[in-house]
Parts: sequence; structure tokens; C-alpha cells
Amino acid sequence: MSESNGDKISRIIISFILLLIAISCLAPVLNILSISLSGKQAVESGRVLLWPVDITLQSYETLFKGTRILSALGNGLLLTIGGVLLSMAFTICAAYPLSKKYFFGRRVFTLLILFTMVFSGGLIPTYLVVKSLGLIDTYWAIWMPGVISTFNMLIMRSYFEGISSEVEDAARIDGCNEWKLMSKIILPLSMPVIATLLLFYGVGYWNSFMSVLIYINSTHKYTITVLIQQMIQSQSLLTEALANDVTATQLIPEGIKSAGIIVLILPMVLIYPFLQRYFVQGVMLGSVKG
Amino acid sequence: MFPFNKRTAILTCAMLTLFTVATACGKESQTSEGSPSKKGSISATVYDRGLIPASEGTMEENRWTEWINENSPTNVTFVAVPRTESKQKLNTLFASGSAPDLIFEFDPNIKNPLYDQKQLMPLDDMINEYSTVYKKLIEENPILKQAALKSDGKMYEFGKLNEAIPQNIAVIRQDWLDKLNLTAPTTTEELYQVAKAFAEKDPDGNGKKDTYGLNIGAGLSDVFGGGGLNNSYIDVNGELVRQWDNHKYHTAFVKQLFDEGIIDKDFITDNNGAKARQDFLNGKTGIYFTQANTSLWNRLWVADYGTLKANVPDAELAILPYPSSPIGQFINWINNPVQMTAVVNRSAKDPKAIMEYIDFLSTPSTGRTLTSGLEGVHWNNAANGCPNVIDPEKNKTETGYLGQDYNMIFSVPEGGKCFFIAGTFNVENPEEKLAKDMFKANLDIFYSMIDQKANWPGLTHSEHLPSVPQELLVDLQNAGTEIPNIFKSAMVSGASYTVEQAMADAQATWDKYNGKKIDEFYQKWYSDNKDHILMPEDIFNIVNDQKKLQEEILK
Repeated sequence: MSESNGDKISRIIISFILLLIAISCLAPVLNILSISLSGKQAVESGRVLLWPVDITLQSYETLFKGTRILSALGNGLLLTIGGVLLSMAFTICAAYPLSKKYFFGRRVFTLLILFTMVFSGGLIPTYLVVKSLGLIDTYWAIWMPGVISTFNMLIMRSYFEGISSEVEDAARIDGCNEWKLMSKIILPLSMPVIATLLLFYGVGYWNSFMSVLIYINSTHKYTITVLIQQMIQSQSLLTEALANDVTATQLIPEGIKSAGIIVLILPMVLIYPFLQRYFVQGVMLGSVKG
Repeated sequence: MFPFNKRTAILTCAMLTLFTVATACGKESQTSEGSPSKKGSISATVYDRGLIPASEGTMEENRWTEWINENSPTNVTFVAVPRTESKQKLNTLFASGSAPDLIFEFDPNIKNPLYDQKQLMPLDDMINEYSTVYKKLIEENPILKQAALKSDGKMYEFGKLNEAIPQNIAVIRQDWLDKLNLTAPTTTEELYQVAKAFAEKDPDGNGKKDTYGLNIGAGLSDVFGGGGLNNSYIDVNGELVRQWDNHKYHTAFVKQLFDEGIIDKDFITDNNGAKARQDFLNGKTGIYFTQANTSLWNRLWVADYGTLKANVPDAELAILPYPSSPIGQFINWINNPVQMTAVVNRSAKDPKAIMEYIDFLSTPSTGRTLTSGLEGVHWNNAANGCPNVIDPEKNKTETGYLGQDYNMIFSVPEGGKCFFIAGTFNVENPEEKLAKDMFKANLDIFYSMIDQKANWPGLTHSEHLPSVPQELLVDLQNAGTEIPNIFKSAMVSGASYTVEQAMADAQATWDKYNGKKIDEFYQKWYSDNKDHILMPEDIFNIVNDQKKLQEEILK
């Protein structure tokens, strides 16, 4: 079927509009990247837009030499990878039985779990529970309370429900038990939802800020998100920090901030393209029944 | 795909177990570090700003915490508190009963509620029984004791004396004044005239109307008598009378400038002043109001002046003394000279050890080390007797993160001239020489203003005001958001929203949010505590006490 002229024109217009939107999303990132690579005077006079001026790596040098960013980056990865593995394991184990109509008490359990989406214990009680479990200052304090995101679990359950029962029956006839059925048949068929949840959980753990701040006391366990947030926020307090230190005037606060942001978003930017293929299918879940 | 078989399952389990072990171990190694000596042991907070180099360790463990533990009479375990989230962090620590013994915190709005919740230990006994250095300090400077007293008549806070210098200043483009044949404004009416000329008569000579008369920056509202809503009182025979004229004249002034295009039309969205600073650095602003104490002084006169000169080679800056307003001459805001910085947890076990640590921190030699590092390693004595940095690169790493975070309790005047900003300029460097000259010029203006009985912009320094009780807190916060917004909308709405209307709305809003009760609360506090509140006269006295030393250093 060939395109009519009208279709062509509207396709061009739509592409153009989408291109504009894409550029408007890209511009701030480019601006941050350019600021992180520019010289002090150019940054402070506001001469940096989309392209670095007086290119220098000074901001990155200050960032990597002057802060704990490398170890914080490592902590962030540990927290994220550990958290994602745990969350995925627990989410799968919760979603699978709940997707089976013959599961005992399915409705009750689902309702109880749904209840937690609406009501939560609040910060201080949660803190006290975590504390009495002896988890303070360990990453378990961040992993455990939110190991299953109810929303993500429901997405996965719906996906499992959508897998045709014929496949299941066939597998059972071939001698699969529940465990094998889940691991050998259902999970390989669920790559889109697994990839989607990997990304949801991954971004969630990577960005977790308040929980790290509250539960982690030792600064050597701080993650990169907390470190960068601290650096951005405390720029306004730089004067109080550096009292009458002349070297403070040579820093490029904006540049260091920007460099921090670039380092912070880099892992997500690198991972995303590999998961994108599944992600697009994944987020469409439930939009079409059939 | 996803090879999920027995082996991966076992591997996953093994990994999860490993995680458990690894993270659990991390916790153990933390706590047990007691040395066999008979020193007392305490825990204390230290701000974490994310600015410590990885090679130095962490804010809890680095060369300086080691130095403290080796040299102080107390073993100190440090608990890091993120600088910008300290309220959140301290609240959780207190709520869960795991707060450290000694808490260093600047913000009275974090410490006052702790007192109200009875979380703090009174300090009178421990000072009397165990203290030597700090006790002597408060005997010589009773004002430190005054400022530490709470409503039950006991001391609850350790504090320090600071150098009393202006926090904000205004600078004016002298080259523009000369070019347009104007003189520096001395009243707010003249300020308006000069600003108008700067905006309209093309002082940068580029043929475009692209200059601003001034920026709406730090201190402008002080010129009109201060902008703090809970600080807008004057004492009339012991009665606190709420002031609205300061807000009225300030609003009317900014409104006029806005209507006539003399200021940046987008000033309201420029929350942190970044845009205003950019305009100033690009030579677009005639009069620049800005914060300029501690390291900001050098930022203004060394870094920013350099950038301005690079952008506009002819630019010349001069300090502009605050012009007088229709309701009088007001002085620049002064940084808090008597600053309360530490409180003690009610459940602290060893008050003696805490007191010994405070004494240790209050000693000048400790103050020197925890500011500049070790003699012979990080600095040598220069000709003027003050520390001279040996290797700036080394210090950047090893002392750069010190700031004042480990000695928030040290009184600068106790340390003598080398601790004053005036003593830190390296006059061999022409830029710093200029910064020093300007510092002197600024202090001269400052002293003459005090001599001429300039008023303080507000009742007193806002850090010495009490926090309103819990039941009024939300009201004050709401009023504190809505009323400035009313003024702002009047400033930018032209003829459709007059200043008179805005003043009426503001006062109605104040009444709506229990303003009367808030006024009564401050009145009661003022009547009850009048004899020991730190008032502007006390601040001016401190300034005058330090004057001789300042002038000697700057000679």
C-alpha cells in the first residue's frame, strides 16, 4: 500500500514536531555537559550554552580528586545491583503464585498487598522497625522495607496471567513441576516485563536518596546520589564551609555540580539502550487485552 | 535468554548470602574502637558536605579525627550529619534514641524545638564543675552566657564569638558615575535617580538600552529597615510595636524601578541571584547588592572583580554606603557575633568528658590546628606572625575540608589577629592587596555608620529570636510565605495592584494567621528576657571592642 501525499506531509510534520521535542529534551543535558567542561570565567559570565567554552577538565579533576565520588559510585552500583537482584527474585516469587487461579487465598493475599499501596507506616515507625532489626547502617535497611514494589509486582502478575494456559498445560504434560514451569517456561516468555522491572527497580535504587540519608550513618557507605545532592545543595553554604580560604575563589561551583550530574546520569544513560527494546513492549503491558 | 536452572538458582542464593555477610560485617568493625586509656568517651556530630577527598578518608575518620583523638582529653566518635539535611537526620536520630552526645548545629530552628521537646541537657552544672577554658571565656564575655539561656533560666547551648563585620554590601560602578557625571547616592530617592540614569543613559556606551540600575539582591530590604516578618518590631517603652513601613517603602521602591524598566524584569524567578551575578559580571549592572562576608569577600574582590575586568576592562568598583531611607539610616546586616553552635543530648552519659572536649576545642592552639593544619607541615610563621601556607596544593587536599566543621565552638577573637579576615590577605598579591584595601574602606564606612547611630534593620539579629511555639509555627510559616508573595505581586503588577492595597492585604493576612498571637508571644519573650537578649547595642559594642584590633591589623 503506498502512502498518499497527505500522509507524507503529516508524517513529515509529526516527525518535525517530535524532533523539536527531542531537541528540547537534549538541550539541558548538553548545557550541563558543556558547563562541566568550560572555564571559570565563561561559566560565571553565562557564556556557555550548548558548546563548551575554554575547554578544561578542571571540574572533573576537582570532582575526582577532591571528593569521594569513586567510592560513592561503587556504593551506588552495589546498592543498585544488590537491590535489583533481591527485588526481582522476591517480586517473581510473589507474582507467580498470585497469577495462578488455583492458588489458595489468592484474593485475600492480593487485597492485603494492595492495602500497602494506600497506607504506609510513616517514617519514624519504619525507622524504629528497621533499627530494632539491627539493619541501621547497612544496605539491608534500604533493600528490605521496599524489596517488593507492589505496583511492579502487579505488573508482573498481569503479565504472567496473560501467558496462554495452553503453554502451561503442554509443559505439565511433559512433566514440569511448578518450579520448573516458572523457571523454564514462564520466565523465558516474560523477558519484556523482566526487562521493564529491571529498569524500574534499577532507576529506583540508583536514585534512592532519602532512605540512604536516613538509614546509613557512615559516610563511607553513602551512594553517589547522596554525595551529588549534598554537593549541589551545599554550594550555597560554601562560604560557611571554606571560611576565609582563598582557594575557594578558584573553584567553579557550577562546573563541579554539572560534572557531578553527568557522572550521576552516565550509568543509566549507558544501560538504557540495551533494555530499550524490551522496555517499549513492557510499558505497553495491559494496554491491549487479548 | 534467561538460563534459569538449578545452578543459577544456587549461585543467586550464594550471592545473596554473601551480601548478608558482607554488609553485616561492615557494621561490626564500626563500633569497637575503645583504647585502654582512662579518657572519657563521647560521640559528636560533624557536618558532611561531600567535599572530602577520597584519599583522606571520611569525615568520621581522617587525619584530623585521629589528631583530635590523640591530642584531646576525650575519645571522640564522630557521627556525620549531611549538611543540607541535618534537620531530617537529627530528628530521626533523636526520635529513635540514637542521637550522639554532643550536637554541633548552626540553625536555631533545629535546636530550639529540641529544647522544647526536652531533649537537651542544661549545661550550668558541667561548666561549673568541670570547665576551665570555656568557663573563663564566658566569665570574660558574659554575653555568651546570656545568649545560651533558655526560658527556664538555664544555659543549653555552647557558643562562640565571631568577628563582627558586615555580611552584605553594595558596590557601585564608579566608572559609570564618572561617565554620567553623577555622585554616589546618599538617600533612597537619589538611589532611584542614579539607578534610573544607569539604566537609561547607556553608561556602557554600546548604543543599546541593555543595562540595569541595580539588582534586587541581599541587603536591599535592609536599606529600608529589614525584611524579616518576625523581626519587624521596634521597642517603644518596652512594648514591641509591629512595623509595616519598612515593607511599604521597600515594596514601593522596587515597584517603581520595575515599572520604569530599571531592574531585570525576571528578578523574581532569580531565586539564588545567579542571573543577577551574571549580569553584574558582564558589566550590565550599575549597583550590585550582594553577600560579602568570609570567603565571599575574596570571591567578590579577587575572582568576580577579575572576571568583570576581563569582560569590561574599564570597570571600576567602589563601595556604596547604604543610602538612608524615609524611615532612617540603617546599617548593613552584621554576621552573628555571638553564635550558638552546640547542644548536649539529655541522655549523654559523660558530661565531664563533653566539657573537657569543649575546653579543648576552645583553646587557641586547637583552633589554629583545626583551621590551618599543623605548624611545620601545613604552615610556617610568616613575618607578621600569622600562618603562611607552605604548599597550597597539599593543603587543598589535607586541610581544604576542615573549614570550621571540627571547631565550630572556637571563638575567633580569642585566637587574636591571625584569625581575623583582615589578617589573612597576602598583600604581595596585587589582587589580594586590593581586597584588603577594600576591606579597610568597608570597615571605615561601617564604623562611621555606627558612630552616627544608624539603626539595626530589625529588632535584633534573627538568630537570637526564639522559635515560636509549635501551635503557631505553621501560621508563621504560612504568613512568611504569603505576605512576601503579596509584596512581590504588587512589585510586578503595575497600576493594577497598588502598594496601599498590598499593605492592606498583607496586614489582613497577618491577622488571618494569628499574627496577634505571634506578636503576643514575642512581646512576652521580650518582656521576660529583656535583660539578657542580645540586642543591636550589644552587637555594636562587640564591633567597637574589636575595632582597635581590626585597625591595627589593617594599618
